[in-house]
Amino acid sequence: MISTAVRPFGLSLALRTTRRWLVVGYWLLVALLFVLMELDESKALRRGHGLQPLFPLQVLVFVPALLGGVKVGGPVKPFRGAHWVPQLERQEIQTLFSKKEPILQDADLDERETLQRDRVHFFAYTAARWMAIGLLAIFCLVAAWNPAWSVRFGSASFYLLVLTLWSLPQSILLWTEPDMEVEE
Amino acid sequence: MRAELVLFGKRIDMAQRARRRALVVVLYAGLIALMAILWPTTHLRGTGGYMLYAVIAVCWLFLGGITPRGLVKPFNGKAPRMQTKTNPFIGLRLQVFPPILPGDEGEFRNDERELHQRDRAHYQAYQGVGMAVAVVMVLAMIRSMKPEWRTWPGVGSDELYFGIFLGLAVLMMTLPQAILLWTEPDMEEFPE
Repeated sequence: MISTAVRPFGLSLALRTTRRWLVVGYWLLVALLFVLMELDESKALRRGHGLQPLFPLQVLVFVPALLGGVKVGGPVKPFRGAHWVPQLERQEIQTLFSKKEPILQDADLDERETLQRDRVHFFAYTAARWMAIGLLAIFCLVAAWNPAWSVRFGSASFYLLVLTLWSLPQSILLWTEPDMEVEE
Repeated sequence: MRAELVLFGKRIDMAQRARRRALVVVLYAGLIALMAILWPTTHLRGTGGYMLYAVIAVCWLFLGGITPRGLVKPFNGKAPRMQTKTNPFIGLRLQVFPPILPGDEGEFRNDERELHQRDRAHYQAYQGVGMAVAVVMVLAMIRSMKPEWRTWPGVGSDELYFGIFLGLAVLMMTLPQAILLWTEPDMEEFPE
């Protein structure tokens, strides 16, 4: 399920410790971007202009793809497989000016990987279900306490939910998969 | 998955896929109708809780999955606490809380094949919900780019967010069970 052909920053993902650091770094990046977007929204509300809504759109398109799963070229193989050869070409910075080679081993998931993908999605779905119900409850409380804050809270929490939905299964996979054997 | 639905003490055969599909259509139509009735009254604000009660009742009586009763076995495979006595008022008259006896744990446990089916249904549901939130997100961004669209569809932004969260919660509580009921083929009848 985890692609050994992809080496972010030249690091091998065979060790679970490395993958866990990658997941921690990813969520710190998400948190940082989220804070930046909230600051930008505050500026937009005060001055009437800001980066909205282009910034969130860029984050949504590019950030979840860093872990793979939804796209070819990340540490996690694409969940739906990739059946179009140009999609399988490496898109790393290291190969920017060299010949692109297709990552053929990422094209399809085998039986074990498919079962693993489904199991991880079960856990992610269960977590996301509780998150959605929790956000609904908090939104109701915020709306009852101070209705002026509800729109701000609604947009921020919905955005966070979308990012979580698009990244949670990959994070669980990278976090839980044991150390892999490195092929010589 | 269970082949029989026990509703108020009456056993209904749900082995045929066509029946299960009809049930899914009726349940979702009912939930949409309830939402449509509640929307004009308080714009979901005060009555959103009733939607959640309705979903829990639907899962308890029909769908299962997140509740011990219903057609789909509990996703976590755990039996509810032992309840050897029925509630004298509700349980006996309506028969919605049949007693759970020590030998009934197996009825709530998923075997290997059912676990795979459960995981696959969750994967498919996750894909559906992921796509749905992405579409809503893009629509919200387009709406924020065009100031003249901010008044559309005639409700405030806070109510719109409330509707989105409520719809998402309803979908996330029911979609895997609906996929399972929809896709599982006709069950074989065991010879007597």
